[in-house]
Amino acid sequence: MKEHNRIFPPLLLLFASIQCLFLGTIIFERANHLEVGLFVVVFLLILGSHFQTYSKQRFSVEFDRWRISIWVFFGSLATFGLRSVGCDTVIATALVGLFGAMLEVAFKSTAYFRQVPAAIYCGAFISMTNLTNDAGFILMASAFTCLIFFVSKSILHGIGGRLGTMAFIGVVMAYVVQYGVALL
Amino acid sequence: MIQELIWIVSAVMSAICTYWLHNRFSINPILASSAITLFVAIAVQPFNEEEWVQAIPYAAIGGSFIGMSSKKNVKGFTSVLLAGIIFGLIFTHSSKFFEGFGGALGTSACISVLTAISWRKFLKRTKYTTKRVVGRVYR
Repeated sequence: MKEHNRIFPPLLLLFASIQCLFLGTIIFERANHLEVGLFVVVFLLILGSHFQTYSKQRFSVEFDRWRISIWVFFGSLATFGLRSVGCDTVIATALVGLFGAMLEVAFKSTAYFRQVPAAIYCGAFISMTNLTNDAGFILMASAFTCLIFFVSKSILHGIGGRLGTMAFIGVVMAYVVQYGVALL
Repeated sequence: MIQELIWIVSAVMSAICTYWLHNRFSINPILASSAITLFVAIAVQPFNEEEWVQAIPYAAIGGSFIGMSSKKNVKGFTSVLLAGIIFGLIFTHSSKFFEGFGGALGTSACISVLTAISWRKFLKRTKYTTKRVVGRVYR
């Protein structure tokens, strides 16, 4: 598969900045409390971790296949559908994840279905959003997440919470677009 | 205080269970995570009247994301335990601005796993440097 190493620094910066933004809001809101020191330490360790990843020059970035990342839409819309039927958010997400994992078990011999559960589970996290019940917002967030899932196959590989971070980036991007449109 | 402790314990427990299922029995991490989350969510359903009980499945699903890490990156249960505790602290102090954003739990889990990994690396490096410096002084 073709390597795209030039995209690695901006992608890592995107992941690092979204995590720092998340921690930064906690530090900002808890500025007058004693426990803020702990979050500052966590913030510094996160920064150190990303710098260390960047300083390892032997990285290779590969893109995922479009046919796999498109399953993000399925995950998000399935969870959204289950939630609108009245299912609990966590149960809906877990059911969609379970369905994705079962797909892999059912089509074990097909290499294509080995990556599909990750895309479905990533999409399911998008629909955990409680901000709005608008399907358009979910679709927009899914489109952003699908794009990020497509390009960041090699980022944070084997680290728990990677799929959730991608979903979070998609939701934040969709929120920024919606907020910007509302301002105009 | 007790409620927060219960959230942290449920996050740590689900992280350890998912990590164990994924790395010991080579079960697909998504299957392990979703099965444990479903189990916790259904088990908590009869006591769902109070608000703090409703948050337990959220802590469990966030904890299970930690357990999805591979053993190549997160070595041993101590790191998982540390990551689980950090996740619990972030979960109990989560910011109001990002309340209701999908994927916030995953981001918290990712932050806690990265923190646990870099903390262990930091300790290892400090130990190595101290050994070298102390050795040089007393040689």
